[in-house]
Amino acid sequence: MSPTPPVLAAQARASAHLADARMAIELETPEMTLNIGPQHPSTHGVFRIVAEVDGEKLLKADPVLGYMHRGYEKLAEVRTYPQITTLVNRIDWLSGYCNEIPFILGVERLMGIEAPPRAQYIRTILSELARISTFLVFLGSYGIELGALTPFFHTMRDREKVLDLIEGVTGGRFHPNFNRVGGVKDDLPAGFIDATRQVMNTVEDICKDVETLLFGNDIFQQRTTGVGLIPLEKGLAYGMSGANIRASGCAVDVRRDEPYLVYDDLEFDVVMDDRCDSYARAWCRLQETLQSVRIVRQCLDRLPAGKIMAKVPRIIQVPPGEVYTRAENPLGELGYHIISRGGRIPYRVKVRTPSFSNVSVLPWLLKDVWMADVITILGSLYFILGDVDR
Amino acid sequence: MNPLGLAPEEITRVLCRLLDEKVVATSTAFAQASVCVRPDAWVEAVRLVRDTEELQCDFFSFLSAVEWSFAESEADATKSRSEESADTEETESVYREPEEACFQVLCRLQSTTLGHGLTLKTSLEKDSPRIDSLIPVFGGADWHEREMMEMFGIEVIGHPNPAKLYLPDAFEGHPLRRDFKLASREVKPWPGDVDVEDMPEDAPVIDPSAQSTAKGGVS
Repeated sequence: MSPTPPVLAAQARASAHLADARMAIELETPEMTLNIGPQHPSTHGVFRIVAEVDGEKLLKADPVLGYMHRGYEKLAEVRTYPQITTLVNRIDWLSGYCNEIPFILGVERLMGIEAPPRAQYIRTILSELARISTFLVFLGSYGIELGALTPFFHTMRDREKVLDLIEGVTGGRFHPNFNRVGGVKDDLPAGFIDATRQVMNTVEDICKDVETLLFGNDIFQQRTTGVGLIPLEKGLAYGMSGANIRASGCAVDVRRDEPYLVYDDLEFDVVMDDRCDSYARAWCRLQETLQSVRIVRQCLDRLPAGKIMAKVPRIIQVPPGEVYTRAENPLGELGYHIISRGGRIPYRVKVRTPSFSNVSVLPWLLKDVWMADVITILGSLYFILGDVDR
Repeated sequence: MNPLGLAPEEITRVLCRLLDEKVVATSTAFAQASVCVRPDAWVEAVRLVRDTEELQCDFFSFLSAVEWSFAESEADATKSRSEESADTEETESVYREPEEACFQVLCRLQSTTLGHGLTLKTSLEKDSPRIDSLIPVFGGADWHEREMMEMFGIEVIGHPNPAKLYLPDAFEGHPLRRDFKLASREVKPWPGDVDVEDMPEDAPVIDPSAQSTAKGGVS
């Protein structure tokens, strides 16, 4: 084989270089349709987006739902009220306990029953523990989505301690099914208060670590600041709630606006931020975790003695009526519109889940954004697919 | 509780004043305001609730529907209802079901500034239920209306993308209608139902104080 003449080799290099240079200036990128999901780690479930992309730019996104639609509203039409609490545990599986609260409160309101104070306090403690465990998942996994692996191991380690507490009381890590109409199933186990105080200290420490190591990280800030801006009016019109709307400068919190359980007696701040971006949403969740720690500590201090169940009939029969009860869940406002026509089975239960409304803003939000920011935005909205599809 | 918020009675009064004869019924049962308007005033009512200075309901909570049916299987509940309502007074604080079979569309709106909220309703005829889209007022109504369309078969006029949201495109029927039976339940009756069926009507009331001390809980 004869060697390539040096002149020709130089010409080839030059033309290749020229081609590269032209590509860098005017790379032709035909529009194409790209499928994101349904199995993408950042979507916390099976969520699919059909995206129209032009190079690295996402032009239009069309979320495709229904992969996890389990038809809870239909199932509730053929189940008794105590059976439905088992179902609703599975709506948002990261904070199963919180899902029971508005449903049970709605049934109690229709029946004119009120749970005794001790039961209310136990409910509040467990709700806040579930909130802490959910937010610890977020703080860890949001780091992973942006390329920071380490926080995940630390938050998951400490989240396990919180789940142990929930398991100690209810017997279930994710789906406690612990509420009964008129109270809770069991009293707190021995040693719970001391153990909880210790875990709360751990949670406070990990939050401070995450604040310095993750939120103080330059790359994290650059990837989240100014990304996924949601103006307040848009967020409200789309029914966004929870940390997503509080990060858009609206200090709403069902726990304070329409107090349920014992939140009226407790002191806590409604965390708010007006930066409207992904960083603000993550920051709000971090601060809310600390507020939850504060709430749990107050509940432990004030926990009254007494009964954990009110007097209720053996068969739960709900008189005719219609009521909408809502609660501040980790992901936002969860509400149940319960319609009863008398009897053991509800006529209709409409489940208003926070993630469904939070995600419905995506077609508007995911326009002309960089592909790398899509994951930042999806992660910052923090939705659970079971909560979107129901 | 937000001290600026209106009481349920005040909310219904404000809407009655604004919409006058377009209000069909009001209710403040269970301390929650709900106002039923005529279908042709649906969009107008939602817009008023959002824009009126006294109401300011800027938060779109949800939109859904319910099918009121008086079929034979539901006749028992209906009968007892009509007997009861015969001797109760005509006040809005007493809960009342619709008189006739219909589809009822529900829309829950809250105020983030004032703290109160209300449920707007409208009754649609059973045969060909149609309703105007709320998207011009609240963009978030988009998916809620798509869900309502596929689940109840209610036509939403003016919806820009009336495709199915959850269900496969080829799916037939409307799952949340009362005549749509759960297939699994048709094949095998719910085992849980058997347990409750045999229980006596006047079962004894459980007294929790008798058993709560045995658990060894902390106080």
